[in-house]
Amino acid sequence: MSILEKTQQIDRPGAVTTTSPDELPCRLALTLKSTSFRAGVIAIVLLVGGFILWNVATDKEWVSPLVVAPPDEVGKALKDMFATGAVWKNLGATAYVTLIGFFVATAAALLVSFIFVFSESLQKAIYPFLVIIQTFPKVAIAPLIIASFGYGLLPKVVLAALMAFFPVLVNAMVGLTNINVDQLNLFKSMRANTWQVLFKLRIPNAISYILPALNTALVLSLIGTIVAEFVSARQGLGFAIQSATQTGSVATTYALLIVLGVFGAMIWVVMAILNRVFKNYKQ
Amino acid sequence: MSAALSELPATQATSISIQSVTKRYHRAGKTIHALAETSLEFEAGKFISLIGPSGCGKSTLLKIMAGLETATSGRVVIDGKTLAGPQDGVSVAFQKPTLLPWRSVMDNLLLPIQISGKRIDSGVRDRAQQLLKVMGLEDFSGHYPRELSGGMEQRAAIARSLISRPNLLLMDEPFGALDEFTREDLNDELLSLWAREPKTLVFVTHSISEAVFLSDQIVVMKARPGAVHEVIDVPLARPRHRDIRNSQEFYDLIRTVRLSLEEAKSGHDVEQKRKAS
Repeated sequence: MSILEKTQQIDRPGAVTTTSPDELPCRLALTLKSTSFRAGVIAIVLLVGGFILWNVATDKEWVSPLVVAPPDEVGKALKDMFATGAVWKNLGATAYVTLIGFFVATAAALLVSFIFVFSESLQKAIYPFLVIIQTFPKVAIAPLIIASFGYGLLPKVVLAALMAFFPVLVNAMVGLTNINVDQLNLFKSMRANTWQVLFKLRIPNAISYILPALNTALVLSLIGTIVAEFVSARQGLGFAIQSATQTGSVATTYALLIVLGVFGAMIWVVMAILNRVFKNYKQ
Repeated sequence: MSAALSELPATQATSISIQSVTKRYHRAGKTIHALAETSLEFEAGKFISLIGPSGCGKSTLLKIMAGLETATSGRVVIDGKTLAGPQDGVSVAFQKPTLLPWRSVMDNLLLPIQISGKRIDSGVRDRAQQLLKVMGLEDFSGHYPRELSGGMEQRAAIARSLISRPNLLLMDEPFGALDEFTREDLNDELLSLWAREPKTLVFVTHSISEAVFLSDQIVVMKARPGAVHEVIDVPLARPRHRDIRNSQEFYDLIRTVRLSLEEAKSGHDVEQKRKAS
C-alpha cells in the first residue's frame, strides 16, 4: 500500500474499504457531514429557490417585464435560438475570436517573458511601457482599435489579445525567475548550462504560475471579444445581445446571457482539468 | 542491504586543501566577515564534520568547497587543482531535500545523469534502483515528492547525490530537520553507503553526537567572525554500529567536542587552557 493511500485512509475515514452492514449508517452520517455534500445541497437550494423567486416575481409583476423577462419567455427565446441555429452561429463566432485572441496573447506573453529572462536590461527598458499599455481602459479604446484595424476579424482579436496578454506575462515572468535558491544551487553544483536550467527548472517551475493566469486570460479574452462585438460586428454573442437590447427583446437578452454563462462554465471546467493534469508542478 | 553495490568499481576519493580562505559579504553598506582566514587539510577518503554555532561560517565554507560561492581571498585545492566553480565528481546535498516536485523519485535520481549529458542506460537505472533499495525506497520510485514524508524525501535526495559516483560529497546539515529516530537511521545508512563507495565526505551539522558517530575528524568552528577553533580526531573503530552510541569512548568524545564548542563560544584560547590544566 502506498503512503498516499495510507494518508487518505487517515484523513477520510469514510473511504475505508470494509463494508460490514452495521458500518453503513455510520458512512451515511459521514457523507451527510462532508463539506462537498453540504455545498451541493446549498447550491441546489439556491438554484431552485432563485428559479421559483424569478417565476413569482415576474408573475406578480413585482418587477417590470422590461427589466426581468419571465422564465417561460426566456425558455421560448432559447428554444427559438436553437431551432434557427442562430445560437451556434453567434456562439461559434464569439468562441472563435476568444480562442484566437487567447492563443495569440499567450504565445506573445510567453515569448516576451522568455526574452525578459535572458535580458534583464530589455526587461527594465520595455516593462514600463507594457504597464502603461495595461492601464489603458481597453473597453473605452475599443472604437479606436476598430477604427485602426478595420471591421474584420483583426480588431476583435487585437482587443481580446490585449485584454488577455498582461496576466499571462506577469505570471510567466514571476514563474521563470522566482526560483528556489536551493534548486538553483543544485543545478549549479551539477554544472547545468543555461538551457538545462531553462528547460528542466525554470519552465516546469513557471507552469504552476502560468495555469491560473491562463484561466484569467481566457475570461478576459471573452470579455474583449464581447466588447469588440458590441462596437462592430455582424455576428457573435456580443452583437446578438446588443441588437436584442436595442429592439427591446429582454427575453432574448436573458437567453443569450444563459448561453454566455454556460460557455464561461465550460472554460472553467477545461481549466480545472488542466490544473489536475499539472498538479505535480506546484512547488 | 544490497550486495550489488559493493561489486561496483570503487570510486576515487579526493583530498582537499583549504589555503588561507576568507569570505566577506557587503550588505547594505556594511561588511560582514563570514569567514576569517581559514586553512585546513583533509586527507582523501576521510569523513569530516564541520560543527559550530550559527554564524560560524560552516555552511559558507561548504559552499566555497562546492564552488557555489567564491572565496574573497585564498584558494581551495582539490586533488592538486585550484577550484574555480562547481566541479565534476563533487556532489552537494542540501539542508532541504530540494527534490523537483514535478519529477517522480526515480526521475529526480536520474537528474544529475541527464544534466551531465550521459545516456540513461539500464546500468544507470539499475544503480538508481539499488540506491533506492539501500535507502528503503524501492517501492516509491514512481511516487512524487509530495507523497513522501520528510525523512523519505531526504533519503531520496541522498540517493540522488550518490547516483553519479562522486569522489567528494558535501552535505549541508542534511538531517537537521528530521526527528532523532529518523536521523539515527539515516546516519547508519549514510555510513554503510560511505563504506561501500569510499569517498571524501564533508558534513555540516549542529548535532554533536551525529558528528562523533559519523566522523574521522571534527572541525569545531567559532562565530563572528567564522573561524576554525580546533580539529578533533575521532579514533572510534570502523565499521561503527549504533550500539557504539552507548560506549564510554563515545561519551568521552562527546564531552571533548562539547567542551571545545564552549571554549569556542567563550573565546578562550585552546592551547592556553590546555597548558593551564
